[in-house]
Amino acid sequence: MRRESSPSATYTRLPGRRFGLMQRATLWAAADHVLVVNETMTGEAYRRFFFRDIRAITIHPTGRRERTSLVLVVFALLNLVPLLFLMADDPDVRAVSLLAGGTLVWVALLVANLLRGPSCETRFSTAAHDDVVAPLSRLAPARRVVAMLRPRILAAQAELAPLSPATGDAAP
Amino acid sequence: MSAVRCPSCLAELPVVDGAVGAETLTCGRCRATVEVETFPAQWRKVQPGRTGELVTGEEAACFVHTDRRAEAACDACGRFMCALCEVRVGEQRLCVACLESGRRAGRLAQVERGRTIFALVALRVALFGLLLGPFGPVAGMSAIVLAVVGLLKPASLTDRRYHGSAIVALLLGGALTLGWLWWWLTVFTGSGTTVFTEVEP
Repeated sequence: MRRESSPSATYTRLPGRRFGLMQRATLWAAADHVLVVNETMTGEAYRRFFFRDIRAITIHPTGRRERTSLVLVVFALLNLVPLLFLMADDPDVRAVSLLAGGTLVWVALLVANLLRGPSCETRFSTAAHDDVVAPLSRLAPARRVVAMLRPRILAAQAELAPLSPATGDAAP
Repeated sequence: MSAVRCPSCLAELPVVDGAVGAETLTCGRCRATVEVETFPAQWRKVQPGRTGELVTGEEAACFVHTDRRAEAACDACGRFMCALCEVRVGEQRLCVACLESGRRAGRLAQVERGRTIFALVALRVALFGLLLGPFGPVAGMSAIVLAVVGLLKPASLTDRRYHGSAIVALLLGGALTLGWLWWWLTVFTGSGTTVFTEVEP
């Protein structure tokens, strides 16, 4: 059995990524499939979607960006309110810089969250699975990826004969 | 042939039979807006699996299913396979045993489901070492070894190297090891700064 050749030429990075406290997911394209790479504690877990198998891609806008923003605003306020009180009374330089730093971090995260655009849930459907593609959690990259993959999927499925929609059978 | 379902409530979306392309639909049940892109495979029946033809006359038989006609030889071990046993992996035709052994040995990237990234393990070990206090050098040295392995071995299937994680693990592991070894040295030799001072009653 021959060993696979260097994978560097095989995969190209696609737009979209997912960051979490313990999770990071990215999306890659090969000649005949899409690879979702989920980073775990000790390595990577792979999930493949072959172009010939993808039946449908659904993009469903969600309210995750708004919910995340709300949480970040609360954390920013938890730093900002004591900071304002402290500055009104007797400002201790160390406490002020600590709270100001904390506020800045949460505000920066809030701005980054807002700049990444509306959130969504993207699913790739095959005959066997209907899986959420974690890296495509924002609308703009999800649409870009679908536009990039569309010609490849159609090319991979081009050999399928024309259809008889009523039965799903190939036309003679 | 299965329906396209709403990601929110799993109700069937009103996709026109045989339609291929992009459209924005509203779910009839939860009123969610869903962008749907359908492809020709959506309107295909799943083809039944091939079971292999029965052996007749002097034809070669499958190694596993002796009553079935051999259709190919395994590219790895050369055993004859019937249509049921043959697994195509890229351009290779493999039997199930070779597929499994190849997967376990990491020789078949196309069926690899995960990979240990030593640089990531090194980073985790180094971070865990911060919690070990004076026993940190054990984790520190382990992190250094793992980080070096991580730098030398091919990392991700996508050729991502994780050099950043390995370098951070090296630095953290080195700091842990040297810092705590120095502390142990001062404890056993009595040199270095005085940590505790006796308080006069």
